[in-house]
Amino acid sequence: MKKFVIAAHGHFADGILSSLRMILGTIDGIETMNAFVDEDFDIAASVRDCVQSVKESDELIVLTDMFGGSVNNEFMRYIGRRNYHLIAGINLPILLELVANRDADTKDMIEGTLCSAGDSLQYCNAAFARFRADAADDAQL
Amino acid sequence: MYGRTATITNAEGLHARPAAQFAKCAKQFTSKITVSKGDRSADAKSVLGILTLAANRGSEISISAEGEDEEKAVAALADLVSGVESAE
Repeated sequence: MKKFVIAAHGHFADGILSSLRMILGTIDGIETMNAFVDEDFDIAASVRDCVQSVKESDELIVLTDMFGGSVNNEFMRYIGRRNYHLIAGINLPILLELVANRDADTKDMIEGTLCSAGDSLQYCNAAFARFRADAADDAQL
Repeated sequence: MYGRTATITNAEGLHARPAAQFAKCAKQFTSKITVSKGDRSADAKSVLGILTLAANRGSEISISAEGEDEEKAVAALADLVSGVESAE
C-alpha cells in the first residue's frame, strides 16, 4: 500500500491537491499538512505523528514544497526509515505524474518523474520564439 | 511497430485533463507507445511528457506503438484525440 503526504508552508498542500483532483478526479490515499497555518503548529510533533501513522510495511511518499525549508528539513530526519521516500520541490506536473503512476515500482516512479521534471519548467517567451523560428524554417522548405 | 497520425480536435488541445485521459488510456495497453509532435516525442503513458508537447487544437501528432497490442493501442489513442471533448 502507498500513502502520499503533501506537506508545505501555508495552504499550498490543500491548494495543489485541489488542482490535482480537478484534473484526475477523486483520488484516495493522499493527505496534506498545511504547516504553520495555526499559531500553535508544532512541526516536529506533526511530522512525527504523520510518519508514525504509517506502518513501515506500507510505503510512505512525502512531497514537500522546497528543499532546505523547515518542513522538508523535519521530514529529512526520517530518511532511512523502511519504505519512506521524500521528494522536495514539487509542482503540479510532478504531482500529477507521480499519482498517475502510483501503481508502478515506487523508486522507478520517482526517478522517472524527476528525470523528466525539468521539461515542465519553461520560459514560455523563449519557447514561443523557438516555435516561430521553426515555423519560419518549415515555410521556406 | 505500428503508427498513424491524428489531429487534435478539442478546443484547448491536449491540456491537463485530456493529457491525463490520454495517458490513462495508454496505460491500458502493454505496448511501448510514443507520441510525437514535430521533433518532440514523449512516452504516451506520461502525463508530464504529453503536456510538454504543447499540442494545441489542430496539431497533428504521430502515435506509434510496439508490442502485442500495438494496433489496438494506436487506434484507441487516435480515436481519443480526434473525439475528445474539451473539459474547460
